[in-house]
Amino acid sequence: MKTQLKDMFLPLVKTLILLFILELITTAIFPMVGLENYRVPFNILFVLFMGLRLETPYLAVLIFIVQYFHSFFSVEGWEMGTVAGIVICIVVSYVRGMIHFSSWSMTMLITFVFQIFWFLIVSLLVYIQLGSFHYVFEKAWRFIPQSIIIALLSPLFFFLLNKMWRVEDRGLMGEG
Amino acid sequence: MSFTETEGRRTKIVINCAMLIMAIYSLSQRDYVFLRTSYADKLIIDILGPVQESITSVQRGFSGYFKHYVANVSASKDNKFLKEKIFELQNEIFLNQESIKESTRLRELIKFGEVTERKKVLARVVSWDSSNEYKVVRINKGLKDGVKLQSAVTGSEGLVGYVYRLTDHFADVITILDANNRVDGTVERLRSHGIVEGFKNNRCIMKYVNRTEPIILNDIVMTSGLGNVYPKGIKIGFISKIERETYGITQHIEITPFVNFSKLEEVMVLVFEQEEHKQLEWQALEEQLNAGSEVRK
Repeated sequence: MKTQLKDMFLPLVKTLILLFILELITTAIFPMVGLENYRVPFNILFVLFMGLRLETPYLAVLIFIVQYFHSFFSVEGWEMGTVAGIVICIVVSYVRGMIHFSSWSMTMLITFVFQIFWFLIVSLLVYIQLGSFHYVFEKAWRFIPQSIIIALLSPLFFFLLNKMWRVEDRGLMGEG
Repeated sequence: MSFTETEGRRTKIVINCAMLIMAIYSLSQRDYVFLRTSYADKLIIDILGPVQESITSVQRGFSGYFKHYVANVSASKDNKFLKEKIFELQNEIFLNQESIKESTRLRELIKFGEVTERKKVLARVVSWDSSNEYKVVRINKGLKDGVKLQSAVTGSEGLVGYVYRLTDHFADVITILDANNRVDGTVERLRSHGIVEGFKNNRCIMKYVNRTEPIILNDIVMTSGLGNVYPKGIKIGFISKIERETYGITQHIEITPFVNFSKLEEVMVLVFEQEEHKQLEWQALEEQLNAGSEVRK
């Protein structure tokens, strides 16, 4: 378990720089090439990585920082993502023993499953706010392609983030 | 700082609970009409904005070069068509100028209300919101350029949205495609009112229109001027789908906006320059209402 704050500072800065580059591509380039309806929510991928791969008491703070950074690029705000991220971390802490990143396909599958959790938590919060399922159904249609893209990208980004956070990545890219 | 395994778990539980409470409280306090910006938001957005702007400019430069020089195969044909169109429009402008003069004369005659002037600020779209759920664009004009929160934003074809979040040099505009944006609209031909909201597939929906209203496809919808955000008479879009069910008192109307949001580059911010005393009147009224609701509690 990583408990030293100084161990986390540099990897966090690197993660935020990577997120910054990806958010710039998503916000400035994707819409200009006709992808104005579909954006890749890289913040979800980063929060899932933290929840699944990092073991530290400050996980909630790390998730908050990533979500707060994301809120500079989106009016969505940091709140819903932080709630979803923390709840997922709590779930992961109970099932950590069962999660094995043994291959690319497993990494994709695990990411996909936890994205469904993310979607359910955020949908519940949206439902509490609006009192209607209409918007949730709308969201579900966009969730399908976006979650597939995130799942497909997950082995590559988990590999990169593993290097940044110096997490043991045996098996993640299928070599284990 | 280092912990034993048990201490670590305890700290984790405390931090998780604290962050969850903070996030849920912040979520419950969120204002969906406009977003207040903290000093950190202002600082970071003002730093990130120019980077987003330069990336967008480079990308536009490349696609512009491709579109104007490489893929430009029907320029001569287009030129001929456009010349004919200009001639046609010049005639139309002449007729419209006559109508404006007539309208001004009649307005003076009947002393038709007080037309409030709005300052126009031209801005460039620098990026879109990074979330799929929100149809928000970031423009390169902010508080320092005279933009205010909830100022209406238009494109050359019609209504774009209003200013939702504001920093010194940039502003986030929530477009009419977003489900959180509601515009009081009027069907131009019939003067029927309804609320226009963002829907799906780059379309809007017009709610609360009585099912007996004889609305037809391609009817134009414009802003009604109610609600103090959008000025009256800005074109929103045309009606592209109507469904009248056998039950209910309203009809399902879908609107295709005139603005092509995928090609939106420049916008105009219409800043409502309200007189000082009127602002004070609004504030006093708001305070009075708040005091009234507290007394009732």
